[in-house]
Amino acid sequence: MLTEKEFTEAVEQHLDMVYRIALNWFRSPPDAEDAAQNTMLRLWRAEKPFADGEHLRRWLARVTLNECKRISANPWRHRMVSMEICPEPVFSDPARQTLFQDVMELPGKYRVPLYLYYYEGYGVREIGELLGMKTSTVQTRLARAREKLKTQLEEA
Amino acid sequence: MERKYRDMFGEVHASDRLKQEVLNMTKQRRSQRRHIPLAALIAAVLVVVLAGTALAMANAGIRDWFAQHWREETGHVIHVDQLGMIDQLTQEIGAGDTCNGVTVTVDSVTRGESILWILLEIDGLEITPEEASGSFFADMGMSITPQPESMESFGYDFEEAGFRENGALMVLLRYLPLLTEEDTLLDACNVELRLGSFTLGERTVVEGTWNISFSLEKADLPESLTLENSIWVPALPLDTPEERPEVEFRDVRITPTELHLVWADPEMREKVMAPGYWSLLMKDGAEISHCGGVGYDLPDGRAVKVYYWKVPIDLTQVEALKFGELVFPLH
Repeated sequence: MLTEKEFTEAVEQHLDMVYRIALNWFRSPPDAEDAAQNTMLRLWRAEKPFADGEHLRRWLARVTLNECKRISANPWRHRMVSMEICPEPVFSDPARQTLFQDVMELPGKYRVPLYLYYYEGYGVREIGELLGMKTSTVQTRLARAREKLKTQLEEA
Repeated sequence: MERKYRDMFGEVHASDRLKQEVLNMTKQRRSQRRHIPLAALIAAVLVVVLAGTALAMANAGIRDWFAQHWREETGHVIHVDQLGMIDQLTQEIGAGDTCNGVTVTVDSVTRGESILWILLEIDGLEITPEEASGSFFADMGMSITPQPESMESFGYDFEEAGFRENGALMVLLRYLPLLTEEDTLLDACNVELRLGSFTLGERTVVEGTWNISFSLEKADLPESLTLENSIWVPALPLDTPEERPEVEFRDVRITPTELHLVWADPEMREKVMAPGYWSLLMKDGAEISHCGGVGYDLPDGRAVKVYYWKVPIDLTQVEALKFGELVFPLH
């Protein structure tokens, strides 16, 4: 089990990643917060030791994706949360706001692999392991995601 | 594009409020049972407001609420045998606590295998029926002794259930612990219920905590119905929503309060949304659906899905299980 200090450090280092993965999955900040909170609660209760920071990061990515699937699959996925409580991201540059909207308009099956690849720096094989997909499927989705995003950016 | 993408997501952060909530987890005991993780968490934040909520209930009890709810859901009058069965599953309680001039009393409890309907009477509030449609307690915890072994988390929701003649507000609390097949809520037990601050929407009306202790006697649930064969129903894939593969469920069991299903292929629950269009068709043509559900894994690797019926069902009056337009005859 993590000590309180270790847990706090893990929150500082990885909560944003957990939230971003969930936001890419759901597009909805309230749902992303739910998944992030559940994931971090699992970490706080986890009894397993982590070999190093990378082990912890990958464990969190996997648990986040599992939480997203669980929440998606639940018929009670209806929340009453005001947007004031869970605000949409705010960007320093309008172009980034546009890019965010373009990314969020991509189909769900493209958003998460794209984030794991571009932002978290995972390889195609690792993304396949995290998402339970064949490497070739991940490659195809990344290629199509890039293509779609490029088209959207050009059209914009 | 990669750099722009990275720069953009570099500005997406978890909110300070979420971060604080997560950091506050360390103040809980790790084994604390009353937290609400996983799928059941969704139930915890779901506040259902019935159509026609401001019912004039006089001194009505939970059987009247079920009768009213049945009529609204099905368009049919509830069968007298069904009311008799609800009476059989219901125990009058009458225990309460007062805080800041408001008395909360547990009127009665109706039991299922893994659901409790708890009718609360709240006396001393100064609110109108219009205001009451968004009313609930901001916090809730419950301990059950002896605690079912597999119980680690729970969900709950509140539903406004009308006013009594004395002006007391009635609120129905649905309590849904995540239990595996070996455990039920039907054994005799002692219950400690804790309710925190009464709120109307975003506004806190009464701050405080109500602690109510009561005992439940052993309850007997009528025998459940089981399907001999597997059933196949269409599901929505998580990745490619345009396709609708069929998924197989085994060991389908219907109790008066729940529907239990076992995924034939546990892997499928990672690939599709759990099919959720279940209902029961009664002999008189009434049809009642579920009000949500949870899933869990058994130690042997089987994955179970449980849905809760909106009202306890008299299984002798059930004609068929339905999934959308698909009909699976029973009996």
